[in-house]
Amino acid sequence: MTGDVETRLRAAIESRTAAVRISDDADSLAAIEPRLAGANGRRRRRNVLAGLSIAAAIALVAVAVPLLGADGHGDQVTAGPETTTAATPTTAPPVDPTTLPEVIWPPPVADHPRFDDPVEAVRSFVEEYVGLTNPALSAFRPGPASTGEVDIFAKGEDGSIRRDLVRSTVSVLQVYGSWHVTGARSDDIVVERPAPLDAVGPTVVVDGRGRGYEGTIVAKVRGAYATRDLATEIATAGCCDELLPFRMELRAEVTAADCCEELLAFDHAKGSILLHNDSGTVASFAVVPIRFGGTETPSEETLVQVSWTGPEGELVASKRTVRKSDGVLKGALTQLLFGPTSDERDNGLSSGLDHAAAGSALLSVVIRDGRATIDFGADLPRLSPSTSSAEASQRFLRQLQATVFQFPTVTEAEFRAGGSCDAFWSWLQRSCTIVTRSNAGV
Amino acid sequence: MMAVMSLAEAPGAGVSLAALHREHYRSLVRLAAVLVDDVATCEELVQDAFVAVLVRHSALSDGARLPAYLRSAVLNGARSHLRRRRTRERVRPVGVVRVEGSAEAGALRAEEHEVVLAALRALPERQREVLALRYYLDLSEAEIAETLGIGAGTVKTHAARGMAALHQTLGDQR
Repeated sequence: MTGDVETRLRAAIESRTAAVRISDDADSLAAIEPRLAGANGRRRRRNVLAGLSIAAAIALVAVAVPLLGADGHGDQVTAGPETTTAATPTTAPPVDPTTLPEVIWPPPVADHPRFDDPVEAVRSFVEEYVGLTNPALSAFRPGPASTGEVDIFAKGEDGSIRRDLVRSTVSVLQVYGSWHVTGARSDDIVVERPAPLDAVGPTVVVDGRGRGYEGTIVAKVRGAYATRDLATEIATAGCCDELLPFRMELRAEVTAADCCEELLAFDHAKGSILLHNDSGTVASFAVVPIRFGGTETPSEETLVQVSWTGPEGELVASKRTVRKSDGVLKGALTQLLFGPTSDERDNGLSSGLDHAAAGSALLSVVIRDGRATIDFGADLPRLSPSTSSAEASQRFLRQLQATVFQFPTVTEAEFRAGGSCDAFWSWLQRSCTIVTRSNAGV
Repeated sequence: MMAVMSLAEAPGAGVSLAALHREHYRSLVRLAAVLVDDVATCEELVQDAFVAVLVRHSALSDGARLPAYLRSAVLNGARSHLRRRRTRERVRPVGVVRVEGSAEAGALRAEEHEVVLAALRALPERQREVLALRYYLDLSEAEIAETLGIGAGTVKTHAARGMAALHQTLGDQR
């Protein structure tokens, strides 16, 4: 069977790549050439400046050594400042890279080193910001436009490095020759919200999916470049292989009147969220840069109902908080796809979907003239094999309709998979139909 | 064209941008297109990769390794692009092929290929990259390991897990 999948994969890739229409060689070369020439020019200028700095330093030493040996005669001391004045402008960048909104590390303080090696920048970040001791780091992987990544490997109980197991990946950005950390991600902790550089309000809502020892996921809101926590929250997600949803609300008051020293000292608007699993020691971590001072508050959120199937096959509704700005129906359906919480699952609630994969399977929700057109994406059917029985399909459909028709503005609904009404309904072993509030029985 | 050829020496000893471009540009765009649906974006990613790699490795005389560096930079770029897109469109799955409006839409409409590609794109990053390198470029485990900066054993693990996941996803859909 694997061979069959291999054949299908090869065919799909061949079909995809054969269909790609690429611009003329001359056009793409014309796009690369000036950028390469410009980058090389900047690189040469940097090298020249670095050479000038070194030459200036050598000159300074050459002048200083005789001075030190001359018992400090006043007429010779005046030579020093002339030499150093010539070197100063070559090393000062016009903009401090740490003021860039996406830069989380290193802190812009005089006694903290800057890094011309991306791996050392990551090492500093992981040890000082995240709190890992002696992390096992990969080599630097260059990306486009002066970016790149460094992996953090797991370690065995005996301290051996597990190069086959990447815990987290740290992103870096090179600006004016030094490397800066801009975030971190992990396959164990997927942050859905906030997005990088989102402006957060006093209550920071963190949504995502994760897994960790005993299902523990910890979130910490921090100020710019700070290692001190403004707020901490713990949630329960997946304990084992499966990524399960988590949601945390962290109260992080950040105002000019009472905010922490770090924020006032450096950048009152910047901050970050560190998430890690394992309640004792950090295993995997993700870091998202954020901005404070957003207008989003809980008052801009609203409660919606999401319907599940209970242990006796009955319809059971749970309440969820969703952002109004995201669309309440879309928010409710996203929560439906995320599935019940672990507590709700323990109480026998189920949606029949594979939530680890289905959490992201919602393409679009459009409401027009009372009709909600909901496209789940082409891959929803394959994510939910348990709807293959008529009973399971009926249960899922009932949950879906109850969730959709809770909103009085929706009078009918068209469900699609990958843009196709037929595809959605054939997944449920039925033919395409428009569901109305009355025939849904809601 | 003369201007292009004048860059022949720019990347470093023995490396010609024009030759490198001629030999690898198209296959790199197609490699990116296995993972990213928008071809214009794929071209930008590959152009970014050329600039980043050739600037970074301008002093290197080992031109033989440049293709691996380019592949690596393209995959990193694709990964970053997908992550940014996933962030922007929080509910749009990475794995779904958007066919509307693109020049290659017609060819992609074959549902079977769409489903298989969507399944591939829904895999964890490393798994889908390993499978793309293996089944598009036919790279060996050692070449994939060099491209991704991981061990050959890890390549084998990702390939096996990726195929197992695809098998589970696609196995009963025909």
